[in-house]
Parts: sequence; C-alpha cells; structure tokens
Amino acid sequence: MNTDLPPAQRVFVIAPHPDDESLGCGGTIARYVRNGTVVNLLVVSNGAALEEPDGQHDDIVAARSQELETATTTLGIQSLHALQLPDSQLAHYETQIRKTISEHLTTFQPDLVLAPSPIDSHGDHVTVGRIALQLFRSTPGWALAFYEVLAPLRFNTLVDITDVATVKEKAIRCYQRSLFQQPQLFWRAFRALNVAKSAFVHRAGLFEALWVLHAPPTDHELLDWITYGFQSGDNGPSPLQRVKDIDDLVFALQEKTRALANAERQLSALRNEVAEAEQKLQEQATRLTTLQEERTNSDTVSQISPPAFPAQERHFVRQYLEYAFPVGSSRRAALSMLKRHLTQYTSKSPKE
Amino acid sequence: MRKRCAILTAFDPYAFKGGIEIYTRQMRDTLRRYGCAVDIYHTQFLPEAARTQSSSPSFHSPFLNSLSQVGRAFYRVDHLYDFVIAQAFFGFAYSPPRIPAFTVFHSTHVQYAEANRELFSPEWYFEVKHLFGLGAEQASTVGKKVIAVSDAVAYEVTRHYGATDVVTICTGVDQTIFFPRLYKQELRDHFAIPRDAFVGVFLARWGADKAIDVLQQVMEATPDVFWVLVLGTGEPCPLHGRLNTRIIENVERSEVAAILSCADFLFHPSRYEGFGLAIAEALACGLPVIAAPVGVAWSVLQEPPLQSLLLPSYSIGKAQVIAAALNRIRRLQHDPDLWHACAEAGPAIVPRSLNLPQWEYAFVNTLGLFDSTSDHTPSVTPRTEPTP
Repeated sequence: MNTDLPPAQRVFVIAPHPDDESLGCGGTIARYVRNGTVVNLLVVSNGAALEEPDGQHDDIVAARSQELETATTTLGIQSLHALQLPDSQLAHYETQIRKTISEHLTTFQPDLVLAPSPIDSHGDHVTVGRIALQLFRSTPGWALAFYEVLAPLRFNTLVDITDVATVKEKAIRCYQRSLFQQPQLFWRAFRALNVAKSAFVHRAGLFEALWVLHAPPTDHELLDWITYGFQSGDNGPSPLQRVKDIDDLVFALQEKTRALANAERQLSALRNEVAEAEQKLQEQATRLTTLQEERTNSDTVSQISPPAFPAQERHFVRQYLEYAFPVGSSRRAALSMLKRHLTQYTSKSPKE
Repeated sequence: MRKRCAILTAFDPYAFKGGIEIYTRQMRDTLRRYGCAVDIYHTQFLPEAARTQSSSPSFHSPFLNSLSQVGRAFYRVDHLYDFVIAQAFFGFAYSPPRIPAFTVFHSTHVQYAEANRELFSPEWYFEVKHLFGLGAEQASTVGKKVIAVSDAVAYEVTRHYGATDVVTICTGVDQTIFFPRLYKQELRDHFAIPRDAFVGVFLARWGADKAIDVLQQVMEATPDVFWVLVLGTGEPCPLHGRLNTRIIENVERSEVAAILSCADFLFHPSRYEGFGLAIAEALACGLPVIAAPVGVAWSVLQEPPLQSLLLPSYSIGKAQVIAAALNRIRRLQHDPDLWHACAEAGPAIVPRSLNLPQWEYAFVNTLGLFDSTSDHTPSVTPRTEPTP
C-alpha cells in the first residue's frame, strides 16, 4: 500500500459543504501545508440545509461561514473561496460549479485536486465528485485524488496523518453548529475511521484514504474499482473500454480457436488410430482367408490319399475279397487280382 | 512562443528501421525546423513515474498492454505539451485526449488482415482485424484528427472506422537522398553486384505479409536475374548463400538509395501497403517498379508506361500474379524502350506528388504551425547529382 503523500506543489481542495474538507482530508491538507505546499480551498454550498436540534436556523449560513474560515485558518489553507450555492441542491448548479472549478484550475494551476468521492450517500458529494471527474477527463495538468467522507472509499493511497492529527482535530472542533454541537463526536468517529486504516499498513497511527488518479478512468473502470471487480459497468461509450471489451472477446475467441484446433488434432489422431485399427483388421482378415485357403488345399490333398476307407467301403472290400479269393487260392494270384481291380476302382469317378 | 509537441509511438525510432520509425524521425525533424520542441514517447521510454500508474487497464494482448501504458502515462505530462501526434494506434490509450491530438494512419489493420487472411492463423487474424483494427485503431479516431498517408488509407479509415475528420497527406520522398545516379557501374562494384547482370531489388522486411512466398517463387523462375534483397528489421531470411543473390541488411537510407539507383527494377509484391515508401523511393531513383496495386502504387502507377508494370490484384489468384510478375520482368529485361520510359517516368512523378517539401507544407499546415504573416509555399529544389 502506498503511504507516500502524492507529490504536489499546489493543491486545490474542493469541498461540497463547510466541514467536508476537515472531516475528509483535514490531515492531508495539514501535511501539505507543513511541507510548504500551497493549498487553496473551494467550498461549493452554503450549508443552509442543516437542521439543528434546537430549531435555530436563522443565521446558520453566516455561522457556518465563520466556522469554515476558522477551520481554514487552523489547517493553514492559503486561499478560501466559498461559492455559497444552495445546500442539497448542487445537482441543479452543475454548469456553474464546473465553470468555477475550471476557472480555479486555470488560475491556480494545481498539481493535485482533492475532491469528494463520487460514490457517496450525499447527493451533493456525488455531484461535486462527478464534476471533478469530468474535468479531469478534459483538462490536462493535474492529478485527481478522491477522499472519503460519509461512504468508505476503495483507496490506493493512505496518507499518514498521525503527526498532524491534532491539527485535524482542532479544525473539526471549529465546526460547532455544522456538526450538531457535537464536533467531539465527529472527531472520535473520523478518528476511528482513520485509525481503522492502520490495519492495512500494519502499524499504529491515523491514515486518511485517497484514491489517486493520474489518468482518467472510464465509468467501467470506476465501477470496477469501487466494487473490487464485483460489478463491471455497462461498458458505456468510452473508446478505451470498447478496446478492452474487444480484447476480452478476441482473447476468448482465440482460446476457443485453440481449443478447436486441439480438438481437431485429437479427432484427427483418433481417426488415424481407427484407420490403423481397420488396416490391422483387414490384414488379419486377409491372413485368415489365406489360412483358410491353405487349410482347404490341405484338405484336398488328404482326400487324394485317404488314410482309410469309410466303413461302407470296408464292407464292400470284405465282400470283394470273399468273392475274389475263395478259400484255398494262392497268395500271389490273389494279390495280382487285387491290384488290377484297385486300379479300375480309383480311375472311376466318385459317382461311379 | 515555442510550441511543444509529443509523439507517441510503439518502438524506439532510433533503434528500428521500419517505415513508421522513418516517418517519426521525419516528423521530429520537420517540427523542430518549425520551432517546435519535440519529445518522443514509446514502449521503452515512458514519462517519469509512469510505472506506478494504478488505473491502467490490462489487456490480454501484451503489445496492447505496453501501448496502453504509454497512452495512460502520457496523462501525467500532457499539460506540458501544446499538441500530441500518435503514430497508428500506438496512442490509443490516451483517450479521451485532453490536448489537441492527431493520429497518423499508415495503414488500417482491418484491410491488412483481410489482405493476408490466408497467411494468418485464425487467432492472429482475429487479433489483427478486431483488436488492432476495429478496437484500437477505431478508438484512435475518436476526438483526434486523422492524418492518412495515402488516399487508399484515407478511404479505408473512413470506410472501416467511420472517421469523419480525415486529411490525406501523402508521404514525401526525400529527394536529397533518393534521386537517379549516373554512375551505376561503380555503385554495383561498391555493393559487389555484377556489372552485366539484370538486377532485381526487393526492399522490405522479411515477412510473410510482404509476399516473400511470391518473391521466392519468382526468384526460382528467374535464374538469369541477379537478386538484391535489402531487408529491414524482420524475420531472418533463409536465402543467405543462394546463387545470384545478394542480401543486404540494416543499411542506411543513403545506401538504400544507391542500391535502388544501380538496379534494374524493384519487385514489390506485398499483399498490402498503406503507403509503400519503397515504391516511391524507387520511382524517385529512376527504377522501374513492378508492384501489386497497393498503397501508393494503386494511385500513382495508373498511367502508362508505369501502368504496364502494375501487377494484378491477389484476388485473381497467386499463380496468376506470379505469372504476371514473370511476364513483366521479361518485358523489362528484353524491351529497353519500355525500361527507359519507366525509368524516366518515376523521377517525374515524385516532384509532382510525392515530394518532401509538399508533405512538409501540408503536415505543418494541418498542425496549425504556420505563422499567418509569412509565406510558406513549398518549393521543390531540383537536386544535382554529387560525384560518387
């Protein structure tokens, strides 16, 4: 986590209401002032919408202006400009606010602008934060840092304000009526907020959270950052975001194309294996046929030289012998007749 | 008051020798001549402290990622400049621009991808066309004035990206370097090229998109032609040691001009060019050019006699293009009248429409750098040939 004070020679602080600068970034302002940095402050609304417990409301604008001036002096801010627009209605004065801030940017030429986070529960904070962001997208020459007031902010910088905590406390205590006659309660609350950040840097102290930007984020990036990537924006009209979306799509397409090529390679390998198996089967079949043919040929040979006569033929031979060789005939005459008859027998067809 | 300009590009213009790098140096010199201070930012040189940028979007494409860092980092210093010029889509991440911004389009990646589709893998095709083209290039037209280096590119930018604020400024050839030389034989000796050979030159980086497949087939079919391959920063060429071939790499501009001047023709079969500086430089040197109808060739080589050397489009098929190339080489080789007519036509075209002073005038005028009280009409000074 970056805990360095963003480098700047001229810092311009924009506060929607008197007290926001002290509550949100009073410690950071005090540190800049201590470093010799020139700090100017623009407070946009007059704070008239404040509802006090005792109902006394007549001089609230004057009272808050007085408190603002005291707090400004306490923090060491060089120049204060109060725009005095109606409290809680800043959304209706966007053009005027933008024009005023633009003029300050031109004349003061800050390195860094501190503005309330546009992600906040107060509508005025949203308006001022959004205008700062719009100007950041169109006007060169400065870095933008959002500070947190009511809603916790996702930050990228924690400014160590431990050494200037007393200055911040004094500034907050200036706002008696602005803070419902209980500035000590607000100090404790915001002190707790600042102390809680010590968990991120693993050392005791008070830290103010800033989201420092050097290049304008798209709405998508803004939403992505604020929600820790949980919610992506609707892409909006930003050309850069469009490139990012195309990049995602092309990457996905490339992954799928590669997967397809892989699958095709595997399919091709499988086809080859099947073809090889078929080839082997064919070879086996051919070999089997050859074997069968060999067996058939071998069987034919056996028929030509039969090992024995069938039973029926054996009976026929016995009858023949009894006919041809009556008892008492000579052995030689019998053999001679047998050869002659056998020759006649084998030369005949099976039918015969 | 002295104006300050930043140029955003991809590669170090002092280390690389591509067309865009030459153009970058040319812009720098011109702007300085007109009293502008110029700083060049690229992927190897970012503004101070840019590396700590936290909100820079991350891309899957490493190239786009590094370009994005250049554009986003430039926000830290943009207030120091009066205007910024981005080369191609290399400054796409400087969006929205907070100071007057210009984008110089040397090509369009949509057209480039289509022309080379059969050579590209599907993954690369998608990346080139959709990410570099329809993504980054289109983003580079938003809120920025577009300068196209040729009519062809201007047409493509308008057609593919819907850009409306487009001005064509044809790239100029430096005629102090590129002009016809008379001492050809001596120059051939210098580059170890046979005096009596019929010499063809290929001047590009070695890459598939430069149609090196076509070149190799043509080289195989022309054993009686001596080939000189003048190669820029690209892939390694596998033809080292080939018979009748001389490969010259990483040469200075003046040497390129000398090589072009002592050859007999330039063969430029590239499937796509935004401008095709080699074509214009060869014409300036009095070298007949056999080229595909891309970039400047498309518009300049439309009149006889140069028209007769123009190759047909690749859409009719590679074999036909190769056959046409061989036919044109043979004609040049055996028809001295045609050769001389083409050699004389090139140097006449360049001062008319492709010269550096004209480019400079149009460029500076587009940037609004002219002081209204003085006369800045471009003058074309004819060059005399120095003794070699």
